[in-house]
Amino acid sequence: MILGKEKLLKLLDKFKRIEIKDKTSVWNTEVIEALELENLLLQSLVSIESALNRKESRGAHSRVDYKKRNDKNWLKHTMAWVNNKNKPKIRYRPVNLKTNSKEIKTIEPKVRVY
Amino acid sequence: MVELSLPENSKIVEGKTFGKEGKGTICFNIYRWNREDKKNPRIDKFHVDKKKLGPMVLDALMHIKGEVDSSLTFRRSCREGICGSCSMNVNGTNTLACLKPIEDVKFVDIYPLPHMKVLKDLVPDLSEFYEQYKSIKPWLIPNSKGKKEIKQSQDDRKKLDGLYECVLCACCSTSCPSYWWNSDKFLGPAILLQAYRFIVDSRDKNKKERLNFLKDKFKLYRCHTIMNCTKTCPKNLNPAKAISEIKKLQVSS
Repeated sequence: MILGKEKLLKLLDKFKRIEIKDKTSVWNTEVIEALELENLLLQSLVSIESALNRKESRGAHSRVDYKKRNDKNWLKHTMAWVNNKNKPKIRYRPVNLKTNSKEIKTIEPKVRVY
Repeated sequence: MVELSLPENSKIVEGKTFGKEGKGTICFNIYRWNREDKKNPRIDKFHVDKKKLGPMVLDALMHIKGEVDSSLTFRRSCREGICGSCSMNVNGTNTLACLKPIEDVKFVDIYPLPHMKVLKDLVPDLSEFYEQYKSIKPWLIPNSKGKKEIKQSQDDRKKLDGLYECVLCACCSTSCPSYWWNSDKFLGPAILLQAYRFIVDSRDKNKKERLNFLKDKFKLYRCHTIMNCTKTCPKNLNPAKAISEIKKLQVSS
């Protein structure tokens, strides 16, 4: 993941020097693709930064250095923002564990085992 | 004597050449035009190493856009014949670029769909086509207002095979001479196939109105069974047959 982050930061640096050859204003797919690329790069950056930050394994997020799920510290959502210096800011939001109706009982979170 | 002349800027001229011809290269002759440089449409030549290409014509176009000339413009999305975006004229036949293999030839000519207004390069204006699609009410109209589901027998479902697969790529309509001359009034094979799809659907109760809507000199009867539609369909459907079925229903009901 650290390797991936290094590669991604290099790509983000490279992106600063992007050039659009198509200067037309109608059906300019090159501009659209460049915008999509920027979005994907930034989305990847927050994904990788959030994953590095979450020191546990949970569902599809599986880490060799932290193999167990940790409800004590990590039962929370990660929220991430990127500034123009490619340094994501990370905050948390509590998980909504209660159902909104009286008919359906709240299910306590537990480890998923198969 | 009547003198016929082409409108200004309609003559196709020779364009730029990218890459060099060599061993194992293939040449793509691609139609280029955009309204902003006020120039005639041109044919650009792209000599590309065949080894660098995927199997389909769309792979070649994406290679050219990615590596050679990023201003090349075309529609594409799913790259597997499901979305119907990359319809264009390849070597004289309308097809989906993603379903058309690059054959073992020296040249591949790529043009936008014939007889359509071009917006840019290989992108045609399909607004009229979509308006016509809208006109046939392409949704199920049941007669009851009940909330119950409408069941369909397996036999009735089978009637939709060969109709529901249409992805509305417009290859057939733009290959039809009748549609070329009367695209404003004749609905064209793609839309008529869709019209038939809703006429034969057992869940639809609007059959009479649908048939009446098509009963007109142009909408349906401009089809003269030329069969270009069936020949060109990249999904191997048979719009001509669907049209003849509608014609049969017009006389029998």
